[in-house]
Amino acid sequence: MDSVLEATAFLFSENRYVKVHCDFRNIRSISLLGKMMIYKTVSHLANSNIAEEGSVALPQDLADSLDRNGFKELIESYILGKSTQAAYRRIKNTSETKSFLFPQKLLRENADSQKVTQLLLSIKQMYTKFNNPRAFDTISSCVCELLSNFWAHATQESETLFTAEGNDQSFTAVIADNAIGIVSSLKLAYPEFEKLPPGDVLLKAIQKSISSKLKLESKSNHMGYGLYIVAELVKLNRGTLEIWSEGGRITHKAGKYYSKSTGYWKGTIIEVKLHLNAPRTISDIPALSCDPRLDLVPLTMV
Amino acid sequence: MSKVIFLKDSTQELTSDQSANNVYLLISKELSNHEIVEINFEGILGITTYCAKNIFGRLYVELNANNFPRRIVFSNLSKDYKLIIQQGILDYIRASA
Repeated sequence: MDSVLEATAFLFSENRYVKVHCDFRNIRSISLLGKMMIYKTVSHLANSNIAEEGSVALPQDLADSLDRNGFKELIESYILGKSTQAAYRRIKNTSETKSFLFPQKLLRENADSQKVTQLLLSIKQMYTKFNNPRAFDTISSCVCELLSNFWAHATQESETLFTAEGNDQSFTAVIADNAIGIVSSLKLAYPEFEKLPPGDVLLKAIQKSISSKLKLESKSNHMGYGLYIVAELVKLNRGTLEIWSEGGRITHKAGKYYSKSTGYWKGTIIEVKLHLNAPRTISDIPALSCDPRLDLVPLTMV
Repeated sequence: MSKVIFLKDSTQELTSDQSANNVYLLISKELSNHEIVEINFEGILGITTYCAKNIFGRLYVELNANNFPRRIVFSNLSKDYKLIIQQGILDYIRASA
């Protein structure tokens, strides 16, 4: 992914090109993240004025692989100049496909409740069929917090895209945008982060109660728990969480998170992988479930 | 007099501003007409900490610590959702102070 971000950094430079040719013919295998990156590269090229002309070389087996996740038609809509919105509407997100693409512009004001419900329902149906309903609880927490997080910062121009796929053993979700980016957003809110390298700012982002909205809005209704919960669920479920934003990257390994520098990406990309053999949920996060303050707010249950 | 609200009749996901606002208004409206409101979580597919804070944290502060557990009762609430709601309430209290 580092080399991919080095290669795509030109998308966000001030340079302008007569022609840009994207040649994907040397790709031998590709992950869900890789498919997202191909889509985001093509869509950004098409939507921006970086180049007067663009072309894409996509071998058939790669096109078939992209098709399985719903990306092929979207990419073709840009290449062939067809309606991308129409292509979005044709995407099937079902438990049968075991793959989900949620490319609606994730605007907070226009959050499409029906589409989110459809997405969650499809995932739930899939894991009920796998006889692993508890896996859905884990996935739901991660997916809902990720969507909420991106909604908070999405704009018409940010081209936020969510995609996921799963099987009985694991679930992977990738969400990417070209919005302000976690790094810039947090540096704006926390002046003390100004001198930190981008990767270290991302480490702050997965701590509890860190949120640019919390700091910048005097009566913020945000909690700053979203990425913290995702990060903790990844640890509990022996998964991986990778976040890339504006030249920084964090990665999870053996129960810890590490930061490093990487190629520049305007916006944020998050990849979450969860192993679901014995799913742990939010109630298994000790800092939350063993919080002594819980006794102060009892709920009446019937 | 009590009233049961089946949240799934309104929405199955509590993830967005819109959902949080709609559910908060729904519960508030029923509280103005009924002494006890039961909130049934059957069929709810997800709830974020943001929504928990802005629905139940807000109601908690408005009703106060004595009235909230007396006037709002929960049914079909999973352990996970209960925890999210309690954390949301705690954060709303903290932010209100």
